[in-house]
Amino acid sequence: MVLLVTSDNEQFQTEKDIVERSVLIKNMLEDVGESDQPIPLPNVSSSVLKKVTQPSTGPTEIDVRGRYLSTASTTVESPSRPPILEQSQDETRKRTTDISEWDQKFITVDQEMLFEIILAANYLDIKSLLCRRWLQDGSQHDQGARPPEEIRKLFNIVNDFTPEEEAQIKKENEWAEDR
Amino acid sequence: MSVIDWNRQDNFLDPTLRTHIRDLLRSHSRPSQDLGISALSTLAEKLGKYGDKIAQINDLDELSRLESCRSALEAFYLDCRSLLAPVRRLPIELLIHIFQFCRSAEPNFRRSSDSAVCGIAHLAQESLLRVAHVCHMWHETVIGTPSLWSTVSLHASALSGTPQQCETTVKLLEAVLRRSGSMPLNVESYPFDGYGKRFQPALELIARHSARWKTARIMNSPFDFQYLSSIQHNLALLTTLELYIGGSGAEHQLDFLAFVQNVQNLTVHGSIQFAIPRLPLEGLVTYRCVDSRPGTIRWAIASMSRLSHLCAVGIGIEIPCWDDENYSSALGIPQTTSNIGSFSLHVHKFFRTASSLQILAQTFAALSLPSLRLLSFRADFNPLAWPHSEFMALSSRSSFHNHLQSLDLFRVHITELQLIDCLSTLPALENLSIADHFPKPLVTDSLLTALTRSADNSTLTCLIPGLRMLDCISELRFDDNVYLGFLLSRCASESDSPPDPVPFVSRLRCPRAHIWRTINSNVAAQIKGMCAGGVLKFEWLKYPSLVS
Repeated sequence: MVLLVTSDNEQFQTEKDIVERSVLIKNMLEDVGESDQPIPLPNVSSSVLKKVTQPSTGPTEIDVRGRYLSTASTTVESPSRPPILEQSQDETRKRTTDISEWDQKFITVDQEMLFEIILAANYLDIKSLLCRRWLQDGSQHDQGARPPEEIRKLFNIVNDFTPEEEAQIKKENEWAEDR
Repeated sequence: MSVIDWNRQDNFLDPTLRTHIRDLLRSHSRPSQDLGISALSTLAEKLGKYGDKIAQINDLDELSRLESCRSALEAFYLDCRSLLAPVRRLPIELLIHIFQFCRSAEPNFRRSSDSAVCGIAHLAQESLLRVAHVCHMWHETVIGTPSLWSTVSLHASALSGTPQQCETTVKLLEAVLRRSGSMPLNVESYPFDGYGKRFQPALELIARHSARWKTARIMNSPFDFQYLSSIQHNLALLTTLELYIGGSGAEHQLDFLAFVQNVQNLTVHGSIQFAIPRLPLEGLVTYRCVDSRPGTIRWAIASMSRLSHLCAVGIGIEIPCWDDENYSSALGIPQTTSNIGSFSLHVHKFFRTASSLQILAQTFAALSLPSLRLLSFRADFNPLAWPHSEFMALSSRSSFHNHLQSLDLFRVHITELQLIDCLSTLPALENLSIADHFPKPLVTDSLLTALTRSADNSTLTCLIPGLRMLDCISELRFDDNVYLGFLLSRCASESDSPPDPVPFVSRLRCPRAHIWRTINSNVAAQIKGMCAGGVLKFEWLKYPSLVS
């Protein structure tokens, strides 16, 4: 177990294999070696750290669980983790084909929290997958990416293109008008 | 509470302020301290008052004036709200990282019934362009970041449409290459039969940038390589290459292979014999021969003699279901010594057991692998039959007892006696993967007992004393207490030595739901305790959880 101390001075005992998904913490642990000293995380609040390190479904009975994909091949999905903790590119590809239960719950956090989590993941050097789910269609549309209007609405972004820029964008998109 | 003087022009109509807010939006800059949540609330309140006032007015001129003011206020409010949106807290480099995920790996053929449109959308990176069309700052970021455009993926469907669509494809290709700036490129080209000539302008265009190719996946017919003639002498950055060699008749098109001197990762599909003389194999780190037919596997095996000890080799074999035993038995694999560190054999498709046995036996009989550390076998469908005596001879000839550290037999049908015989000659083994196959289970009480260290910690009385990881696909036909005894013995530290900082790893995978059973609760509690103590990493890979 590793002791983490957040910006609001709360302490968290966390499993080593979970925290080591963070390159920042992994490097810190390698630098200090085996030690009971707490690791300070001045850029991460306790509410965010709870989200980043929470397991996929409730407390685990025996450490880790997962899903068996196929009896024909030996491909076995890695044990479920919060997607924000995922690292490998292969796993990334595999996991983007569906929205896991964890993601569904994760997506329900408000945007303030969501972007705090993304910033924390960036600080901790953990590959983030979640935003892709938001910017892409995934299961909801099945037709490629979300349209720009939907992304604007989702993230409170205004269309601030000038008429000249709008014309340029139309030109960039001419190929799509052949459809 | 804000009070509005309805006869006076409000400051949100001040063009300087509007421009300032717009500039902030377009630059991704932070707003000043003055513009916070409270200011936004005041604006929202004002907007509501405008609505109320408009509802009470009968004078048309006044109504028009106030509606115009309200529209301006609403636009101003939306700008300010956008300025405070949480998404703007993300730094540009993080946005770019997120945008990278928007790139699609393959054409989305559900997008349209017209496959040409799907291929063109894929080449254009439609998802990325949609993100670019959200706002000015995102547009500047997407279009102005070469790394987002460094993958050039040309699918044949993009060239399968009308002549106009083919022209569009080439124009889009130019745009993508232009946006990629001077970044190293990942180039992919996938063919459909019969479109060779149509590829010419696109392939020639991609070839002109070959000095920037970092990875290349060219799955075209070898006859299309004629359009890539300009890449010779111009492949200094290329480190990863995957290509389809095809059959005979296009050998002269493969001359460029002599210039891929810096390639470290090579995957070759098809008839490898035509490429081998030209391939610089000596510096490879990974080498894969895919889709080798029984008739050509000898070439793949023979080429292994030129590989270094740093190289990991994967050979994928396709055994046609019509293959007869005589055909497979006449492979003529030459005796080959290779210093490679890792070897994996993968059999695709259904096959006759006798054919796979012949191929595996001849492969084992032909090879000497004096530096091998990792050995694995894969089969997509039925498990591979095990040529035991040939493996034992290979093991002895190659001195596996000194250096073989990892053995993956998931997809091998080996008996318990054969496995124990193998393991008794592999004391250096650290990682073992095994599976139960019909009709007799492999992960049994007797095997687990043989793998259990004896109570006095003598390393002489158990198989593979240095085992650090046991990965089992099991139907759970063992006694949980025997399994626990195995785990306890492996997790216990040697007397007089400090505890091992690296926990023992045990994975259990249950292949089918119908053989579900719970693990004894006392055993589960002890496993949990060992995990908490850091001496065991236990992974239970089944759905739903078997642990009660």
